[in-house]
Amino acid sequence: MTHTHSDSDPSSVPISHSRVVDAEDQRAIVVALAGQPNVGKSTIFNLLTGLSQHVGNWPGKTVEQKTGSCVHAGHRLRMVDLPGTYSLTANSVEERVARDFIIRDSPDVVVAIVDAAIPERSLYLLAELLLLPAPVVLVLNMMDVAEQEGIQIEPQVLQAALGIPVIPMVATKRDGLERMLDAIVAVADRSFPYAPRRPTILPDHQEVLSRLIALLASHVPDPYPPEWVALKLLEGDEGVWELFREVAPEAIIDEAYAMLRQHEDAVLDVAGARYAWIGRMIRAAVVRPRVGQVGLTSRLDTVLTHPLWGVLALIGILGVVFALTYAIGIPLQEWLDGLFGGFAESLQDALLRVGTPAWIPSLISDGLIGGVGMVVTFAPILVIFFATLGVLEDTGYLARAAYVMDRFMHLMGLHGKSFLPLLLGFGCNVPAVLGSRIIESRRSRLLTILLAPLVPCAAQLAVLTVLGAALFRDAAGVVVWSLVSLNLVVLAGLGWLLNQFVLKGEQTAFIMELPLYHLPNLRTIALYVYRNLIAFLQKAGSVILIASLVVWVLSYFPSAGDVSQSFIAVFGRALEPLGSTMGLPWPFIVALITSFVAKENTIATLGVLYGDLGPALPALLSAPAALAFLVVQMLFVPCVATVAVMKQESHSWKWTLIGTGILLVVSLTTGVLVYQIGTGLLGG
Amino acid sequence: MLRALLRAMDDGEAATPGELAGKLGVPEALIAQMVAQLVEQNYLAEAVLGTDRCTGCELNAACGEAGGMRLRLWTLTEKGRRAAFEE
Repeated sequence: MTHTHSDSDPSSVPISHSRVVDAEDQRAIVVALAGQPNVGKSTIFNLLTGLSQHVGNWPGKTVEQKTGSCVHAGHRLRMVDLPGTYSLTANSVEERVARDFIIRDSPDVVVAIVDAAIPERSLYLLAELLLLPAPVVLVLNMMDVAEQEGIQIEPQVLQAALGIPVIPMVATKRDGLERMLDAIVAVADRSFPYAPRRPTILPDHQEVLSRLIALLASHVPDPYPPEWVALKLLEGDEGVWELFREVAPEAIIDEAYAMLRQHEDAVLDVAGARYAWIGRMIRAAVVRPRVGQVGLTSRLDTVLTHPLWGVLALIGILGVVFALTYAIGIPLQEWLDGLFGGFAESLQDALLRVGTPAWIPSLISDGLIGGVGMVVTFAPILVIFFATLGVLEDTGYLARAAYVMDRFMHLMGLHGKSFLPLLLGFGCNVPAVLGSRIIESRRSRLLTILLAPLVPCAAQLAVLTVLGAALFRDAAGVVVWSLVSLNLVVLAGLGWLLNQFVLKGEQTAFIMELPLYHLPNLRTIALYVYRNLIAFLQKAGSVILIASLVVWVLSYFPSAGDVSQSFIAVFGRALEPLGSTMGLPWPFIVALITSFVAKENTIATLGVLYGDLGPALPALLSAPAALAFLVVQMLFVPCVATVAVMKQESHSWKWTLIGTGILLVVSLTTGVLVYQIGTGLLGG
Repeated sequence: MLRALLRAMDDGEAATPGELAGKLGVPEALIAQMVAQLVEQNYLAEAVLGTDRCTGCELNAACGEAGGMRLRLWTLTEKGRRAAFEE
């Protein structure tokens, strides 16, 4: 092979090069290089043409055109580098340029370059190239990469299956270039028995294709083959339709249009037949290994996405998350709690010693440190929670968890898309409700909005963890795990009821992309934990701070610190009849109400009213009352931010009130039942 | 093959590209290509969540940022459902 300029002195490329080539083009074999981007097309073009390249634009287009030439075995080859394309449908200007060149300029040979490591990705383009008049040579480039990845390709088998020359190549090592040029010449001079096995349209649309060809035959612009034009029209190719409309008479256009309307799904059979053809070629000539990361992912997924084992694994993994939270988070929380408590006491003493009015030490100690400080102490729990969540997410497991939860979605008649927003609810219910926007059907969207607050958010989980530890000590892990499960069961049950009797949802299957498993990235997880922790502390310094101060003011005045005579006590006692059905003193009902502003306020309020929760709470509540309180806390109406987005997304006060009303009734009824049944079982 | 994929989806169960590849006897990479084409032709709808769960949330500051899980799934459109059962 030689370039058209002097190989001995590449710098001596004559200025009149293109003119010389033009003159010699009369005898040259015109070769078009086609392929997807990044398959090594430019490398091959550069190796073949060297410094003889001419770079310009395709006529009337801003797409770069590169041409060049070389000589092989006494034949001059004029190479044209077509733009990188994935198919030959008129989706982009590159695709139009490529197919127009092949049809209008009739190159002697088209070389289709394929990445041998992922041949199936390029074979669709080959399937389309084979339908055009120019003969095709297939080049399997990057055979070394395929080999490294353990992919075995049999070029001879593929050649026999395709009926065209198939050349293995490693362009970066110039390996296979000569064989490719031999094949090009052999195809051009017809010494190769070129007999391509093209994909054929499925029988369903054979008849309409034949009728369309007959209708168009004398009305397509030269040199477009009527068969190809008819096929492209069946595929819904707008570029070809415009081409046809420019030349065909009105009556023919109308008839063709009616035929195409009637068969608008023909594209499924045209393109579907190509995919089936690719599948056959790959099965015949490619053997893939099942080792490494993909193999590991497949092996793990046989368990983790299994209908039964996958659910059990999810339950087990959630159990591990809570166990870790307790083993590491609770001791840290208790240490911080002691630190804050000691600090508050010292500060209060110091302020009283210097003669500060009594309400100021109380405000700082009980209002600020007792409220906000108590909430801040569970930062370690959130760190553990977000870190474990981050690990599950970064390894790729969380997507599997979402996937195995699909069966619950079906129980509820939820749209497949509902499960993405609901999954977000574990972080925060606000984006969960907002995420329902991706669901087109109003009923399914409404169902998702109504159910989203039942997914326990991070704040709820943190409150549950702290209170669970304070109220149940050694049994806290089981209680917390059970309450999270209860929320999901109530979510499924309520969803089922709403779906059966109120909002008929639609069950839709879906395809879900699952990422490969990989080792978690510590930096990603650290960043994730940091961002969430900062957001939590900001919240503690704003919403929770204000709520704590309000609760303190209401609990301090007008009785100068005697909570039992304070404003909040008057309000709380009015709710005592409700609390008594669950064995709860009024401060717990007040704490529940303040959680409407932010879930963490439950802790802040109890902290302001009772001081240190650890020793205080178990003495105040019986086990059934403690459990009832946690049940109500978990199923209670969502925070005000969530209610606001429920209204925004449902565009309906009616449905917002119905949603919060249902949760209010469900939470209080369940709480009463838990207390009454528990008390009955334990004998009062 | 494309119609077979739509029909396989309408079995009522969720599926991964790998499961569909096994069911249809083609490489997984081909399923990805077919899905992309079906989305382009409006037979499937794509849903993506999300680089940042709180993107677009007016109350972001009040509830904090959650994680950045990226999930993509595809559901049948009305056109896709019709085409799956058209003979």
